[in-house]
Amino acid sequence: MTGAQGSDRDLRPHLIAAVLAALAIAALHRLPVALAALTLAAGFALAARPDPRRLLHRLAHVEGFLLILLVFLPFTTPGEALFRLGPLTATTEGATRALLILCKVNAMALTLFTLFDRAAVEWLGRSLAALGVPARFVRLTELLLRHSHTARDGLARQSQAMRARAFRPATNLHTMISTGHLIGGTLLRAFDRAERVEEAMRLRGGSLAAAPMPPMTRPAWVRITSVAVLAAGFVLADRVA
Amino acid sequence: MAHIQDGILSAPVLVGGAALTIAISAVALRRAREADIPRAAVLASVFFAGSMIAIPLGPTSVHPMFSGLTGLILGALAVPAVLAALVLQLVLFGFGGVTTLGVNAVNIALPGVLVGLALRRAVAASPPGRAALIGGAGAAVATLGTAGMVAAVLALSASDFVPAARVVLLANLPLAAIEALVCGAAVGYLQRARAGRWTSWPA
Repeated sequence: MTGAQGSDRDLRPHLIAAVLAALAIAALHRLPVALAALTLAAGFALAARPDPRRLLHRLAHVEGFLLILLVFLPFTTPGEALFRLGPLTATTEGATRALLILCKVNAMALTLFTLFDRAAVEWLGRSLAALGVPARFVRLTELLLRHSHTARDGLARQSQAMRARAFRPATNLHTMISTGHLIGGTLLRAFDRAERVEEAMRLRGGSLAAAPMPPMTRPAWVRITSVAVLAAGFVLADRVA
Repeated sequence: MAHIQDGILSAPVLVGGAALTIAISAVALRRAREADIPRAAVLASVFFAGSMIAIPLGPTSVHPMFSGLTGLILGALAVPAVLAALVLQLVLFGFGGVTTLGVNAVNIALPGVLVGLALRRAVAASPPGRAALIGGAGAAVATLGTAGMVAAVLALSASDFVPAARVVLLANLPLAAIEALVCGAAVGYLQRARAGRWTSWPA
């Protein structure tokens, strides 16, 4: 991620493209169009020659509620019977609905992967500020990113110490209480760190605004425009066809 | 469990969630003192990192959300903090959704904020054992509140989502029990170490 150079530092085109793509993909409600969007997104993702393990890992992440939704939709949507499973009847309409959602969710996951896999995330704050996001929210995001590394290291160190004392997480009271104490202890140290961070910032003279960014380059505008045209094309195809 | 992706919810639900998140975030950030911002970020970073801990649950595992505890500690600033965490999750890991940022932030943070407002005085004034019980109960309520809101936005988006929304609600019961135990233990720990000096902030 730190290897990103040149235009990948300016995350504005990535952020704008992500919003345009999300709006378009969210608006699709015809399966063939969603399938085309998924194919195109997969093409873009593969064209960037990603690490296949990272890509598969990304796609394998399924939220629990989505699984429930996809399993239930074929059986709970009224329509023409497709197949029977004991007392349950799956409908063509329901299966189509589930497939449509699956296509849209994966098309967006692939789009996000293409846009952000190699992006220089340390430039996120400046890019958000340059897009007009309020300064305090930008500051919160930047500091959250910065300190999440510290917090993750702290938690990892503590977990390691727990494992060294033969702690094995399982579904029992001991695991829940130990995890609670782990978080409590980490929060306690965070309270003290917050104190130091705040004092250090006061010494440097109060609030630090995000540094301004130069205007977006021509290639960046070209990329945004092409994403906008593609997004509009898909929505149009979805409505007209 | 609470990260709804793009392409599932209806437009009115998305717009409503975004409006609510923007409104609460704007008020919370404007009311905060300058020094509250780095503090909120440092403390939120613990929850952000902690939500990646995998707690075994039978053959699978769950990630705690800490929304009750976040509300107790951060107050209304939990809403912009969760929104910032969701933006980072999108950019760093590609999890979640872009159009659903507002809905997800309000689903995850708002029940915790309300629980925190209701309970922080009682928690701060109680001995560690009772504080742990109150905090644990609050964490369970916040988790069920989030599950209820996820179910509600699904049900409001399409009528054929209703049966699945009911199952989502049921599937969150074990998660609520885990949150109650984990957050209860954390509240007891904090109350033992810093009695009454960790909840009221930022008042």
